[in-house]
Amino acid sequence: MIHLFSQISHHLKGSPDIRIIGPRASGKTAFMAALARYPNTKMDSPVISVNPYDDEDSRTLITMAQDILEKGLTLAPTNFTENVSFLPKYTLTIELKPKFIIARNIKLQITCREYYGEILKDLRGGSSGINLSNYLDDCASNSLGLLLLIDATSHQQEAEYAQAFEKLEVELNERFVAANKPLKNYRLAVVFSKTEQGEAWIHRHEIQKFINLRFFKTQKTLQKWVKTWECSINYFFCSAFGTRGKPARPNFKLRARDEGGTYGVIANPAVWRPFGLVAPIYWLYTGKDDQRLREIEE
Amino acid sequence: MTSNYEKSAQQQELIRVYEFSKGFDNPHYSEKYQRWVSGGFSEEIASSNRPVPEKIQSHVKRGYFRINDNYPPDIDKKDIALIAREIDEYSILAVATGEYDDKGLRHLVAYRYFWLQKTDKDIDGIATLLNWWLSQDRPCFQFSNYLSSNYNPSEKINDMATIYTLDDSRQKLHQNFAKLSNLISKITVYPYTCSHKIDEPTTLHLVTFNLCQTYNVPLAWAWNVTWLEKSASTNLTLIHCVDDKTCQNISIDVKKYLKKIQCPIESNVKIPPLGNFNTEITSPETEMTPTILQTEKDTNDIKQNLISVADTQNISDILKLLNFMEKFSIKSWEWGKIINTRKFEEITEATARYWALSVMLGYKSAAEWLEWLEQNCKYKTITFVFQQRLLNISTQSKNPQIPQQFSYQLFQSISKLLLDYTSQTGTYKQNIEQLLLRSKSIWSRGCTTYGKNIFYQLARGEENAAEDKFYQKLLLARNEWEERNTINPSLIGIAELFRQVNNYDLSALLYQLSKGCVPSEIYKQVIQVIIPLTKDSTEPDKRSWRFLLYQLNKIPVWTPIAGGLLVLLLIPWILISQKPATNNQPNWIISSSLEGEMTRWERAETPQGKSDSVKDINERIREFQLELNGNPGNNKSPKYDRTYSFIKELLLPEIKLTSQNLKRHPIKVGSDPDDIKVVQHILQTLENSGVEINGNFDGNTQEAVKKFQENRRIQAVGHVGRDTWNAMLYELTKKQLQKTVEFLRINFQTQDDTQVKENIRSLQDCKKDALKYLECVQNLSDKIQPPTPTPTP
Repeated sequence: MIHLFSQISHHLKGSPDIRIIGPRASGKTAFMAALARYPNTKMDSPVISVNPYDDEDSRTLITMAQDILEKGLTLAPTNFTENVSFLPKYTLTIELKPKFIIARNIKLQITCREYYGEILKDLRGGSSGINLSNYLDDCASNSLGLLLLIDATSHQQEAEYAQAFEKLEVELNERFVAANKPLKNYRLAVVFSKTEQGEAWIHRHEIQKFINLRFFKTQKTLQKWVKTWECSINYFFCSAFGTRGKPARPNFKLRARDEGGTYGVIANPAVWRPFGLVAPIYWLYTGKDDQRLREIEE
Repeated sequence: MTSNYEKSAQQQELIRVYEFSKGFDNPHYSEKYQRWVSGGFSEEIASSNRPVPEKIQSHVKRGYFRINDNYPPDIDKKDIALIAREIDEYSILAVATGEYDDKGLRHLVAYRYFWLQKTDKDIDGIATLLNWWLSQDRPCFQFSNYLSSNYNPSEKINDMATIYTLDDSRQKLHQNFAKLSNLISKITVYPYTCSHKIDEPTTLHLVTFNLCQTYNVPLAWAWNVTWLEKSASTNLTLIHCVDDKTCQNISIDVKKYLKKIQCPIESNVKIPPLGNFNTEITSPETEMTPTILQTEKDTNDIKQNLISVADTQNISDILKLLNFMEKFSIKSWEWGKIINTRKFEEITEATARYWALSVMLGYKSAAEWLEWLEQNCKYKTITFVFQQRLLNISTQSKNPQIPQQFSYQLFQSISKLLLDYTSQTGTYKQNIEQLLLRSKSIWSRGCTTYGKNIFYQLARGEENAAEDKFYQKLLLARNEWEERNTINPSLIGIAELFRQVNNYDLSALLYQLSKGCVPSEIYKQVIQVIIPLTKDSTEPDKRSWRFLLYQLNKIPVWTPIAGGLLVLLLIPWILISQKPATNNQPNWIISSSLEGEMTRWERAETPQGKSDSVKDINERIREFQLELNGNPGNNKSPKYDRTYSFIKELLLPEIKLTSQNLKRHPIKVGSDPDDIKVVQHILQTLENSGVEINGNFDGNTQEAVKKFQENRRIQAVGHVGRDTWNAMLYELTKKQLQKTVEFLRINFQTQDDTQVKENIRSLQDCKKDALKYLECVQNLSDKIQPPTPTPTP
């Protein structure tokens, strides 16, 4: 074996399977596409690289990021499929700088699946005609980490989120108990997307305050979940499009806004630099919070 | 060409067309956007005007009609994409259009499906649907039609369609064949993607129809699509894309799933030229010939015909037999009713032919036939001539499927015989050998072709398409060897058998799998290698004393006197040959190679001895360089092999990867960066590809890998698997060898003894950094001082 170049990366052990659930247009696909593309990384960023696995799903994701996001267009809503195994599965290898100079680089490989947004409506008792059970089975049987992605500007719908997450807890609980899986190993990452938007941006250093102000009911529901399961929860801010200029402005061109959130496209693809995408993934994978990954460029 | 098929009024028969659509949640009219928008996705099958059959539902839910929502048909231009499929008795036409949702006008694809149930096998359901759809002014999805759970169309649609039969489509195809032939001729694989200008889907249907009729590929196509989901694209025959870029995207998706559209078996049993194999052993019944069960009358006719062919050998009877084969696949023949078992009991020429026929058609096994033939060997010639004649006549048939059926059966029989050969002994084994090697019949020629075919298939790592048990055994043996280094001694006989038909590549492979090494005589003849081969080290070079000992081992023990005499004769010879070499009396045994010459040079004590050795070394280097830079196809001499091994072990660095199994874990995006850097470095060295050595398998690296693969006729997959790595290593080693040998040559020609030794030591230091080896050798070469020229008077 030859190691002629640089230091060898250290492959971290962890929980590689992650599922992403969030309401319609909360930015699930944009989150994945931005993560896979990870454009314009700064030299001092703790993230060295994000490399998608060379399979059809990941290739499609990258092509979509290039064809659509980088051209200032919007991504299509995620469709559903009767058979969950047909859903795209994105495998990414993330390489991070070590916390200490003498240590080796860290590598983690994750596999992500995002579900269609209508799932939240179905959890609240609606019926989109989709077999919800298949998705819940997949979520419970293949993953120990759940990323709940919420549009940071959609607080008007938080009562609905709370209702949906309450039901989600019950459904997953049943499946975990039936499979004799320990509940306390589960990790819930609650990620607020579109943090570049003014109403979230002003709270970017005070996530707890933001949650208390905007997503109090959701937090209560999730706290109850965590108490029942004795599992871990963590909250994060992220932005798939990032900011531009100094002082930072959202790198975002508004197309519409309603009670469900804010919808738009990248304003200037040339300076597209997402933030906060790796922090929740790293936490879900390792259970450790790396503050460097939470840092937001001003 | 007209946009649809015209039918005269009196010909018109009608069939009902049904429909359903994709469901959307809360579609509503948006005042803001001034258009209808979706409020979310709903069930895949909604708003049907008749319960949708389970088969259709299943295909729709499995995504067989799905276009990627990110790439809908152009919404502003009101573009339409079509996907058509036959699912047993149903024909379905999916009409896809682009729509928006209410969350910031995100685009998506909406579908309206039209379907019919064929009442007759002669109906071309897709042509019927397509022409009906065109005649109804191309109806497509509209949100306003689906506001309630019931279908409530705003447009007036006549749901009765004029039936188009297969004959109608054939006629239409015939009329337009000249225009379509260009496209048809290009299609060698499916799913075939094209971005030719095809204004009307009817054209695409005719092309697919032609392929379906000829090769039994699925009657399924997509027209004017941007990016199909993988579930849809991989199950289609023809995909017409809107432009080249989308075509490229879809092509990447379907690359892994491509199937050949061509005759899978050679049409006759001739030996094709080497390197031009494109045949596979696949079942013609399952892939090519539609299986239609024959009636009682047909069965009787076939029965009588077989007897007539055997009795009279009349050309008319043989042609009749071929007609039956064309009409009914052999696989569907009810042998119980067709074969006259009494016929086997007689011992006549006709019986011999009946046996021969039964084997060729796959009723009797070759083993049974061989047993019969052994007892009635006077009929051997008659049988072989008859079989050859049958095959010759069949190859003249316009329908290639007939000789293919014979060839398929022949290969199947040969496969079984070879399998038996690995496990049987005695007369039966000899009979097999006789038949496959020396019979000068379709069997011996077939065996040669079969060997080449399976080697070709093994080289391409193909799956066992025809469930060939022998091929299966080889695949298993190969995996066992590669994964556990386990040998399979039962294959050794087959290895020898293929050596006798001069298939050295396969023979070497089989020796390697059965013995763990390859006899040097075969090793020398090998051109194509699938797995690394090891030359049999127990067979020493003919010029060394060990060779004599080796030969001695082969002398039978039952000749003690002869043996004793030989030993007596041998003793003085061994004594002479083992005498240490002196400077004045070079030892020809060790000095025949560069290694020997260099050993002698190192040991030489007198200037004359040194000078002689240097002269010989230069000669050896010259010989080696000639062979090294010669045609790669040329057979290398054993001396070349020895020098190669010597330099490689002594001076060249070893390059290894962390990935242990490139077959399962090729180097690609996400692989170990150190491995990626090695690949990038090799690409840069060999191709001057300009890739950055950064450990990221980026686009440039992938492109460079593809280019490398294309240049070497390796499947351009863009990642580094076993074959690509072997090719890279081979070329890098060759380049290193060239550089190293040239360095040695310059040294020995221009430098003094001490300097040469010092330079070789420096050269050995270069091994430490494998990837910088060439650079290091170049630096050393640059440092060599040219000899001071002697001043001319």
